[in-house]
Parts: sequence; C-alpha cells; structure tokens
Amino acid sequence: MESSGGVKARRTVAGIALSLLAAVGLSRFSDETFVPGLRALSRVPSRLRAIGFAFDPEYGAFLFAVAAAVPPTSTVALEVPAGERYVYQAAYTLAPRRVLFGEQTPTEFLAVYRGEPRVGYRISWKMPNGVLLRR
Amino acid sequence: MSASVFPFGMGLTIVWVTVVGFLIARFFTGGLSKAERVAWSFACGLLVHTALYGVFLGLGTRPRPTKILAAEIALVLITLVIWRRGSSRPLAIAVHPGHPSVLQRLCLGGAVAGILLFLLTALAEPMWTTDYLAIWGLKGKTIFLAAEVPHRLFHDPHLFWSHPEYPLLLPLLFASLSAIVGEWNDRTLALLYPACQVATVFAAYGFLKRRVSRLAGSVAAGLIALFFPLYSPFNVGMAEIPLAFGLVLLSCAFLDALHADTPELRLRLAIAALFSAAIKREGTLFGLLLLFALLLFQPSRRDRGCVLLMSLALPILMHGGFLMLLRGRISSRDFDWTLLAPERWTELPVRARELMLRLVSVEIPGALLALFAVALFFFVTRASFADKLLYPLAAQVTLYAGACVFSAFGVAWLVGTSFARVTMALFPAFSMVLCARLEGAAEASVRSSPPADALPPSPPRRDGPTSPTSRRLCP
Repeated sequence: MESSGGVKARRTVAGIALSLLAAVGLSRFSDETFVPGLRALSRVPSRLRAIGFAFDPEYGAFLFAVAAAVPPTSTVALEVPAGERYVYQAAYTLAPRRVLFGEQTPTEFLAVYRGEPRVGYRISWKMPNGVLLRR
Repeated sequence: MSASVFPFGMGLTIVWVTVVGFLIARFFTGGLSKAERVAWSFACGLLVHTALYGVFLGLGTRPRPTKILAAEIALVLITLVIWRRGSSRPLAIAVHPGHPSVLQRLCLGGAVAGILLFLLTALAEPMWTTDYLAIWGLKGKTIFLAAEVPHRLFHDPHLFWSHPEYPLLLPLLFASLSAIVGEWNDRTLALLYPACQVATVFAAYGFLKRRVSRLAGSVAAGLIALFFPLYSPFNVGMAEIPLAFGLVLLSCAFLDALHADTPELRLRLAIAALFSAAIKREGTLFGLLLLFALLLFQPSRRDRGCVLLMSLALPILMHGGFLMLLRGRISSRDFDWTLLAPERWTELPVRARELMLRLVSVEIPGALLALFAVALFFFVTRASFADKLLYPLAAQVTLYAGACVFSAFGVAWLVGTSFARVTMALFPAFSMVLCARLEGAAEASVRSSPPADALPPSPPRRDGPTSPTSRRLCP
C-alpha cells in the first residue's frame, strides 16, 4: 500500500506533466496564426474576399470579374501563371464552372491573366490585368 | 463582434441540426451524460441532414430549405411515434454530487477560453487553406451551386489534384448547411469548425465524467480545447477537426463496448464509425483498428461480440460500397503501391531509412517536450480501462509513418506536409486515455457513490473486470 505522501507526490508530478502538455498546446498560439485572423474581424465583409489572394491581390479581382461574366454551367479555359495557388484559387472561385488550364482544349470562354488577346476569339471584356475572350 | 460578422443564420442552422439529431439520438443515448448526448446529437444531426440532402440530390430535385426542413420535421415526428411506442426505459443521466473544485473550474474556464478564441479566429476570415480550396471547399461549392454531384468531380483529368478518392461527407456537409442558409459563404461555413471543437470537448468531458470523474472530464476538456496545433486557423477548412470529433466518438463507444453490449451501444458504434469513415480515410483506418482491438480484448465474448463487431464493420463497408457505386474505382495518386512488387523491394529499405531520418531529425525533436510530458505522466499514474485505446492509437500513428514509405512524391514530402497534421487529429482521443488515468485523483464522493443510473444495462459477465470503474459500468 502506497503512503499518502507517495500518492500526493505522484499526483503533483502528474499535474506538472499535464500542465507541461497543455503548455505545449498553448505555445502554438502564435501571433502568426491567430492575430491576423483577429485583426480581420474589424474588416468590412467586402474586403474579406481578398484575404485568400494575399499572394497576388490583382488575381482575385480578375477571377471575380470572370465569375461575374461566365455563366455557371459553362466551361472556361484559363491561362494563369504556374503555381498551385493560382490553379486552386481559380478552380474554387469559378466553381461550379468547369475550369481547364491552358488553351489546349477549345472552349467557349478563354480567360487570360496578364496576357494578350488570342486569334480566333473576340474580346468579351478587358481589364488592366487580364482579358476574357469568347469564341 | 458585429452583427455582420457573426453568422447568425449558420449558427441557427447548426443548432437546428443538433436539435433534430437530439430527437433522433434519444434512441441510443439513454444513460449517457448530458454533454455526451449533445455531442452524439450533433453527429447524428449532421449525418441525418446530409443524408436527406443527398436523397434530394439523388432524386434530381434542388434541395431547397423548405424541403429539407419539412423532411427533417417528418423524420422527427416518425421517430417520436416510434419512440413513444417502443420506449420502456426512461432516460437516465449521470449524477455527480457536490460542486466542482477550483481545479475543475480552472480547467473548464480554460476550455471555454480555448473555444472562444478558436471561434473568433475561425470566423474572422473566409476559409483559405490549400486543402479547402483544392479539395473540400471546391467539391462542396460545386455540389451546392450545381445542385448535383457532378461526375467530373471524380473523373475530370483537369481536377486530378483534388483527390477524387476522398470521402464526401465534409463537402456534402458544406453544401447541405449552405442549402438551409440559401447561399455559399465560405466565412460563415467556418462555424462548423468551432461547433466540431465544442462537440469534441463535450464528448470527451461527458464520457470521462460518466466513466471516471468530473475532474478527469474537466482536465480533458481543458487539454483538448487549448490544443492549438489542432484548433488553429490553418486547420479551418480541412478535415482534421471534424475527424478528431469522429475519432473521439468512436473511442467513447469502443471503450464502452469493451465492458457492455447493448443495442444502443451498437448503434453508437455504427454511427461513430460511419461519421469517421465518411469524413476521411484515416477514420476508416481507425475503425478497422478498433475492430481488431475488440477482437483482441474480447476473446471470450466472440459469440455475442460478433454483433458488436458487425456494428463497426458494416457502416465502413457500406460507406465504401456507396462510394464505389457513386464514382467507381479511383486510385490514390499519393501512394505508389507498385513498390510492393518484388522487383522494387530494394527501394523500400532506402525509403524506410529516409523516413526514420526525417522522423528522428525533424518530427520527434519538434514534439520532444510533449513526448517527455506524456512519458512522465504515464510513469507516475496507474493503468486505466482506457489504456486499451493506446494500441489502436499507436498502430494508427505507426501506419501513418509506414504509409509515408510508399509516397509517390517522396518520403520527406509526405512526412513534412501530412504526418504531423494527421497525427494531431488523434490528440483529443489520446487525451481521453491520459485523463482516464486520473481516476486515482478523483473525488472521494464520486468514488464512493458511483452513478448507477448512468450504467447501460449489461448482461452478466463471466470474466468481468474488477476495477471500481468497471463495476460502475457493469453492475
């Protein structure tokens, strides 16, 4: 049978161990992950849409303009810079439209980000950072 | 938080879904604590809501809010009628005499602080993480706006990167919750994540309060809610937080199933297995590991245990079969299983060495303090009934690491991008194992007066355990 002092010591060490474990979890509460989010609370909703486009804010404006111009049931080909963030953001922002990357497949719409109009298409609209073309 | 920031519509929808779940979950949550019943109601409500949404999609009609709500009300009325006819036993809940101690209040206060902090940060921004954009959010938004599950989500070569082999519960949840609110809003949808955190905390707290002590439940609640590696803004939009909830439910049902076998318990096992498997493939793996653990720890109960095992296996098999029917066979591009072919066996030792190097040089040093704390805690505490959960948890982590050897994009890449993240989702279930060991520190009042009403009815045992906790469960 363990003495009451031994039991107390074990409980104290167990408490210290759990506190240490909790401290490890708490230590991941960092300025980098939480504070920007808390700051975002004060922003107006219309500006929140741009948060996922911190890597290229103009790209967000371009995609929202494409989404406004292309019907949801259409397929649109996109020419965008290489990189998974460009691809994933385009597919998500333009959903449920089918998005093809590159001009290899003929589609009704071709959206070119930071590029020039193509032969065989007519310009649907043009903005400083891109153009939407239509066959 | 201003009115425009807090998503009242989504909040009401989640509350409604939980109420629907509560009215249905009454069939199988009798004898559980109030906190546990809330957690099971939430899981049941999400499954029912998504299933009804899926039925409308399958019928080819756009699932409008009125249709879904009417179907849910009808379902609740049917269950009420059945419950009135079939119910013979009043619901009982655990009763713990006395007031919470200062330590318990401190732990519960920490849990509330962790929940509030995560709520604020989760709702602050639209979901933006890579996996959300490429996998879960993309599928959910497509399903919601197209009002169907387009075949191209699985077979479009232009979407090869969106993991068409992944389960669909999370995208369908996004879509079905949006269907009630009437719009796709990737900021308000984030409320699902704090809701999952709260449900996880409730499930662990309620289970430990019922099976161990209020202190154990409070400590687990604090540990889980303040575990910021999991509950961080980075994980909002990913599958790990809902998965952690499913794994905790599965663990609770598993630990109860080790000592009892009732129809209610079988149903809880089945629901938790379905929820976990439908969220992520890691949930299927954990369900299968628990199945083996049940076989291992109940060798003398194979006759009756067979039904119990089927309640774990059937939902997993049915879910796999449903996905197969919906989209056909899809291979995962993450893993290169041709490494199992004899001509490539020579590559395996090289990859295993790379894995070990990465684990020893990066992953383990990063978690050294936590591992030390866990080792110290195990050294000074006695074994508990929940220790049996350690085997499937350890096997799961080992299989995670082992799977990295077969990575199609390099061992270091998969370990670096996934290992720590998917392992974090096991922490809430693991913290239940830790806190169950606090049994010795439980209040004397609780030990001396076990809440007999909380016990699910159990058949007489031939080889029953002898600890006070086990007696409490199996009178």
